[in-house]
Amino acid sequence: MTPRVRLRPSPLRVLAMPLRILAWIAESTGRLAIKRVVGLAEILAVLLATMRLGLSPASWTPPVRQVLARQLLFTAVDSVSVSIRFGAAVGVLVIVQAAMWVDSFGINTEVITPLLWKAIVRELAPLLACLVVIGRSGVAIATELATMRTGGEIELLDAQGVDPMNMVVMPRVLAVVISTFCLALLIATVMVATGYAIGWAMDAIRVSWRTFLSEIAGQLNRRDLYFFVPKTLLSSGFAAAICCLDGLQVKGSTTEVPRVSSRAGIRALTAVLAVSAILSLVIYGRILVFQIG
Amino acid sequence: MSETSAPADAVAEASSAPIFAAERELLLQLDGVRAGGLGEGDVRLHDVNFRLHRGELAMLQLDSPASVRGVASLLQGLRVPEAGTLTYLGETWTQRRYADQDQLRFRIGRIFVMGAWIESLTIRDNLRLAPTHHGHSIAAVDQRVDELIEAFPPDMHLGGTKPIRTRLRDHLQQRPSYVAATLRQLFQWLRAALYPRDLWILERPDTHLGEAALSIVCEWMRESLEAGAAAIWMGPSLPATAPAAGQTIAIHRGLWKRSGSRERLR
Repeated sequence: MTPRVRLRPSPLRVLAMPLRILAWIAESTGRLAIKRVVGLAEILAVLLATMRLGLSPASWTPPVRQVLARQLLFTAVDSVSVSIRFGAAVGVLVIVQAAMWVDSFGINTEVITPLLWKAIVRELAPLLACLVVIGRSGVAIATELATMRTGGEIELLDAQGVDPMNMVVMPRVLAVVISTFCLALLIATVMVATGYAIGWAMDAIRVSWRTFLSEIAGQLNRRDLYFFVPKTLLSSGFAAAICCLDGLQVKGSTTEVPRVSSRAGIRALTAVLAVSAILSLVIYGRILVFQIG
Repeated sequence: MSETSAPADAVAEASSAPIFAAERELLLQLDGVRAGGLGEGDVRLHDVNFRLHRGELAMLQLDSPASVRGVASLLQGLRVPEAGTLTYLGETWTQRRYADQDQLRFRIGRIFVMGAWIESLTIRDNLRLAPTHHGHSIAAVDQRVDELIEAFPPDMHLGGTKPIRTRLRDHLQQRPSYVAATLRQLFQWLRAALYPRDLWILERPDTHLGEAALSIVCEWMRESLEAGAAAIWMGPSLPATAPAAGQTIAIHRGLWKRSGSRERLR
């Protein structure tokens, strides 16, 4: 039996180890950063191409208009009932919280109204609309496009001289953006109405509906629009672009489709929250967006 | 498509002779093209030199069940060769604007071996899709579809109790997955023949079709060739009713390789 010889590592090797680890960390971080930048560039490219194609009258051929109409029907019209339910439920939650504040801190109705308004218009309504749209349509779009891709339908369109960007992506992204904006308005209205109804029933709001509405109208300022409109449009645009991209980038067979769909849903949701946070930082110059009172 | 009528013996002679005219415009040219397959079993190209003129039918003779989807997509500019140049009507695909590429692709009639339909649309909507996108009216498309269906004899049957004309009309409202494979293949031919074409790319176009049906659809192709189109037939053999091939390239074990034609081209 030969004796086991233990070699001592050379000093150079010992010194090289931490350097190797540092290099590995730097490489991984760099790779991740490049991946994120490329991903963002792809999303922005889809949004820019959508805008360019959407503004060109030549893009709006009868089949493209048909795709837009179908997507609007599915994303906006079919989502009305679920949006009302969501809006009503969250409206109740908000007013219950507000009532608790009234009880705990002795805050009066004049404080609740702006709180309701700012929370609903600036944050909750756009976010809820995005959630509804991602849950109902975003995942469906990713699944549909991934199935089309694996089934060779995207190539079929291309082979017939029909640009998939024009026929498949552009009408879907636009339909999602328009639908989210409309649903956000609907959800905001439902939340305000539900908030008033529940607040009035709980004796947390003691003013008439007309006074309540006029108080809310008085709260409306340009800043709200600056936040509501870009947040709704940008968040939904990002979500739609991500779902389309993920669907179209599927590789392999149909077994990949469910994985891609769920991934697209999560990525879209993350993007909506990230865009919201970034817009809050840009518009308000602070992370905490609520300015109570 | 072709308005002129020829005597019967002249037609018979034309069916046996290659429709090839060297002085005709060069439609497609491959110079030293190398390209891998789309996947396993897809035909690969190795330093291929190939020329196709208007009015010519080329045959890619397959000796195996290899897929030709990748080759067809390459010829249509949907894939870029790894090496060499592929020119279509004098320019490479990448030299053209996207809108021009789409216009040119619309003038290529292609029969797909798989994935030939948008499954969420009916056959009729599938047939209307590309023409209406390119500015043709729905009425004109429907009329042309009717004309092509009328080309089948009224008493012709392809399985089933109803004549093929009736079956084709009945199935226009169906989604592709509910339509029998034979009818789907006929609808593919019908789609390829809907509008005047510059090029026909036919991936195993005789699949599911008998001699009687093939003779009718091959007549559509013959008329198109006479009107100045070119065609590439990819399959194990050319049916007797098809126009004779101007050139036949044998694909052995899924490899389309250089056959010394570069020197000949020079």
